[in-house]
Parts: sequence; structure tokens; C-alpha cells
Amino acid sequence: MNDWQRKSPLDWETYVNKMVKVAAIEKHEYEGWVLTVDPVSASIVLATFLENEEVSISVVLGHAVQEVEILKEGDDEMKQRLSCIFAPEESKAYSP
Amino acid sequence: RMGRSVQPPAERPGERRMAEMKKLYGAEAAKIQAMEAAMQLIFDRNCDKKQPKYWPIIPLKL
Amino acid sequence: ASPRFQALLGGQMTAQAVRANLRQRYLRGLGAARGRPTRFYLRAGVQVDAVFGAADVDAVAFQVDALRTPLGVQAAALLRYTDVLAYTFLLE
Repeated sequence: MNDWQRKSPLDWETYVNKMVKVAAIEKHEYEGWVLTVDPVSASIVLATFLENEEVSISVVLGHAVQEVEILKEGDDEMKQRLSCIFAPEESKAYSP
Repeated sequence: RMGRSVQPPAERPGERRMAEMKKLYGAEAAKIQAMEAAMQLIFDRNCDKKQPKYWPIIPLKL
Repeated sequence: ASPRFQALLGGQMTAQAVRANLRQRYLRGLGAARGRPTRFYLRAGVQVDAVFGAADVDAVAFQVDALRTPLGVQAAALLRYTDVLAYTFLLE
């Protein structure tokens, strides 16, 4: 287990809705807004917004995570945007 | 009937799992368990139907 | 109960609620990945494309379809969590 996997849910939660840079093993690097951290595998789910309304989702597996650096805090608008990404279908229907 | 007082009833695996889930997720345990069960069902069904093999055959991490 | 015990209990409940929220979001994410073309980044610089099928709940393997390996397309396959470093897919 690495240091990242040993963190507690409360630690992981502090990264949610923040723009981060994840350094992974074998010199991989990923950047994006943190949607969640799986408390079972410690995998980080990142979202990046592309120009054509598309959202790219990257999942970095917990065992591969070396360091997570916070680059930016998300404002309320960003939090709202992020919370809609995996929203269940029924709640999507009611949102504008 | 006598055996019942001597031997504890066999623990059902589902109950044990629920107790663990309660400890981890508290009030949301049942909801999380239902979501996991749905996901696992899809995984198991796909494996039964498609008989996928591990790729690569030998793990990259030994 | 003593205030200290109550604080402890409250802390535990908060941790459970936070864990549940993180897990729920993650499981929804797995649901969103289903059927999407996905690029998997594996150890040793290996990259493969496949269609995301499902993941088991204990984080052991991903079931994928149409896996493009250097030796051809495998209709269905399992990728080990320990081999995968990351994966990406698009939502439109």
C-alpha cells in the first residue's frame, strides 16, 4: 500500500472539486477536476472539459498514485458542473 | 432441537457483509450495497456469457 | 453519553457519510463508463483501446470488449487492476 491508499475518506474528500495534478508511477501525469476518490481502491476520478461540450474522464488507479498536487479550488459554479456529470438519469431530467 | 443451544446457527455470509457495510457506510449501507450488487451482477453476467480471458496472459506486475 | 463519546460517534458518522458519498460517486462513474470506448494505460508503457464492459466491486479486474492488442482484436477480455495505471473515456 502506498501513502495515498493509506489516507482516510476525510483526507480524500479534501481533494474533491479541486483541480489537481496527479503524478503516477512510470512517470505518468494526469490533470483534471477531482470528481471523487473511490474509498475501496483509492482510485481518483478526474474530469476535464473539452471545447465541444465533451467531458473527458480519467481514472488513475490508487495503487499507481504517487503524489497529488492541488492546483486550483473550484468555485460554486464549477462544483455544480462537476456534481452533474455522474448524476443519476432521473435528476438529470429535471435540470435545465 | 438440543443442538441449537449448543451450536450457534451458521452465520450467513450476506449478514456478515451487511454488518461490514454498516460499519463502513452507516446509514447509506443498504443503498451502496444495492449499487454494488447491480454492478457485480453485470460483471458476473458478462463473464458467464463472454468467457473473457485475462490479457495479457502473464501479469505485467509480477 | 459523555460529550467525548458523542463527539467520537459524530466523527464516525461523518466519516461514514463521507465514505458513502465518495463510493456512490465512484460507482456512478463506473456506470457511466459502460459501453464507452476507453483507452487503458498499463504498466511497462503498454496502451490498449477497448470498450468498457464492467468492473468487479472488489477492484480486481475490468471486463472489456473489443480489446485491441498488438496481436489482434480480442472480443472479450479481463484486465487486471494491478496491470492498469489509468484509463480514460469521453462523455458527450
